[in-house]
Amino acid sequence: MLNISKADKVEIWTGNQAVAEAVILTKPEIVAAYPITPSTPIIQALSDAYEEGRIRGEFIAVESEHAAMSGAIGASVAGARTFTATASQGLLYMAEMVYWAGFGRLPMSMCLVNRALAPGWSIWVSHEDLYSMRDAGWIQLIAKNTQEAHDLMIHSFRLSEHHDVYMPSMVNIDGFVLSHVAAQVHPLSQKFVDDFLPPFEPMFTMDPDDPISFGALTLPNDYLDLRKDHINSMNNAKKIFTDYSNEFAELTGRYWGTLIETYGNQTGDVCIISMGSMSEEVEEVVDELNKRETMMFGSLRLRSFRPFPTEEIQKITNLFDTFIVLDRAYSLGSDSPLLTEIRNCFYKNRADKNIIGKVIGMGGADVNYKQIIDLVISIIKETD
Amino acid sequence: MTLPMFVETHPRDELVRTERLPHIWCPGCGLGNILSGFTQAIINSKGTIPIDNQVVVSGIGCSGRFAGYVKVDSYHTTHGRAIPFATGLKLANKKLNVSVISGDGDLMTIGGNHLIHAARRNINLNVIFVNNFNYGMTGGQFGATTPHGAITTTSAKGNYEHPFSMPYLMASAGASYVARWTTLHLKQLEKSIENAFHHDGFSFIEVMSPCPKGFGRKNNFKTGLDQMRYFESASLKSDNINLKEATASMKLLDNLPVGEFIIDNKPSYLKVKEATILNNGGRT
Ligand SMILES: Cc1ncc(C[n+]2csc(CCOP(=O)(O)OP(=O)(O)O)c2C)c(N)n1
Ligand code: SF4
Ligand SMILES: [Mg+2]
Repeated sequence: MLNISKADKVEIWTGNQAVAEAVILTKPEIVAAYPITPSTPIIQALSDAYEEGRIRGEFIAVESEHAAMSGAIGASVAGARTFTATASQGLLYMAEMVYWAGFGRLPMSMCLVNRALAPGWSIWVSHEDLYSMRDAGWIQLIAKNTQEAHDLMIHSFRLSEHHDVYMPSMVNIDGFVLSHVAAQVHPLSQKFVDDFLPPFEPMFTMDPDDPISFGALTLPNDYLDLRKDHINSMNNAKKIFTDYSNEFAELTGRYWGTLIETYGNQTGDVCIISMGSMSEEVEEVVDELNKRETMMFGSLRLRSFRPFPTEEIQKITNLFDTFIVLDRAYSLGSDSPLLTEIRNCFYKNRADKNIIGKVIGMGGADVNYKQIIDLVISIIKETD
Repeated sequence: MTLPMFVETHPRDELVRTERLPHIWCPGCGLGNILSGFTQAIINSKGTIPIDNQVVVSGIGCSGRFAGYVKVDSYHTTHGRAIPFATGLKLANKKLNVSVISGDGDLMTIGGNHLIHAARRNINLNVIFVNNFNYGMTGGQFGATTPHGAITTTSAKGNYEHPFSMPYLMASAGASYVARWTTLHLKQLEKSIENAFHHDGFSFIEVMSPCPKGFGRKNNFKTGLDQMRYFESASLKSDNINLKEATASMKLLDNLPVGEFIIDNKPSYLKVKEATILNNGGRT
């Protein structure tokens, strides 16, 4: 339960507004962005915020997503706090520079409003875009609701800018389901954000007094060292994000979990694993099934896909008999991406369990708790 | 005499995917006029270009929806990439008459690089460039053709950037047919599209079109009709104008030059390529 005092303000915001308002509190000096549904309202709100003088800095209305990420990279190299937002095809068109920012270890934050990839043209939610940048060296955080989207943005900047992490970070919110649906949000205050998120202190910048060269040719050994360092920093991010989550919970009374959040029975028969807005639906499913059925149900959701919460998931491998992994994407020629990652954790523990993957809700197909209940019941019957 | 109140068919039904109607375009949008003009040009050209050889390639945007409504082979491609798609298509099947119909944001902003290179090559494509001065589909942000000072959702205090003059840019990049009309000039547009179909080389037609929802409402054209009235009062047929002056400020007292500005019979990409490579075993 959220511990909100009466003095707290409540706003009715869409997910996009909640993200934009959080970004405004982080005072980015540069936002470079190109519009794409369903992320456009975020960048419009930021453009307005600069024009109205709510924050100082500049909105760059670039000519493409490739230019948006290139502009963000330039700004980050200059030592500025930087943000962009995009979705789906926009992220794909940006891809070369997304990798550049990731492998180039440039702190910045992005809101990725998850939308299906084309063709078929669809503006609705899928997680194909999220997975497409899985290996780009970015931190990938996922919100389950509008309030968490607001709160995660602040974590995203802080984590990205930490010197033991130092890489870009994105917050994923489900297209339309979160981006366009208005919900209650308890906004963070400027004072809180100023305290929680210290100013960006770049480790390397372009400085005429101390010239350095970025993006130079790299020989094999150095290349390997760069990647090793990145791997270590990803691992550091696990602990640091966990600490931030706990600190945030203490300060605000809002506990979202750490790299993962569990719900319902912590041990039992069936654990349902999911990400994004579907996880809130799954919480309903767990409540309902625990009331209705004799079996014991629990759920686990990922708040971070990169770094992947391997250790946290390993801890539950022996606590349930059956695991149902719900995913909004499919890796053609293999399995769903989340299922593959989860199996990897089980293999590490040599845990021999039923792990069943189901792909639902792709391209915006409606997912509600009733459908998930039917799905879970049919899986249990099949595996009996 | 009693006039029939309803007709079962529309004269353009032959070339419109009526099963996809009603279309998604807003009331007052100019895109319907362009669809009408384009399909009529196809009908008028039937004698020389079989309808089966007509193809349409669009990018993404409200204008990009064209590909879905016109009943010839058509491809709704990705945002900004219609021209390279069309180039591949044309070179793979040279008998096709390939028209690219898309928006200003698609063709000039995110896809501008391809547009200038296609003009430079003088490649055999017909580009119908729908300039509604903003990104209509995503809710009216400013782009590369939005007039300086215009109010948009990303320029609440007025656009601080300057637009391209498309005819000037296309002419200097090498396009061999360059024209510009508004959606008011339906007959001229039809004829111009026919001329482009028969022109051997890169043809570029800018069509200025009302977008009351994204652009008009915020910029003194409350309805599509208001912007049509402006087109009527401001447009000036000026075929021989110095293209530097072919601006489109959308300001009340400024002229809006329209016309067929350039018809140059220099050899097209296909002709030059054939002459230099194909007939020469690769050596020039
Ligand atoms: C790579 C990519 N970026 C962004 C978008 C989102 N988008 C769709 S249409 C559009 C702008 C269209 O503007 P324009 O070409 O002028 O067409 P109009 O809607 O004005 O006719 C944008 C930015 C997209 N589909 N793909
Ligand atoms: S937004 Fe503008 S261009 Fe798009 S359909 Fe509406 S009026 Fe036409
Ligand atoms: Mg447009």
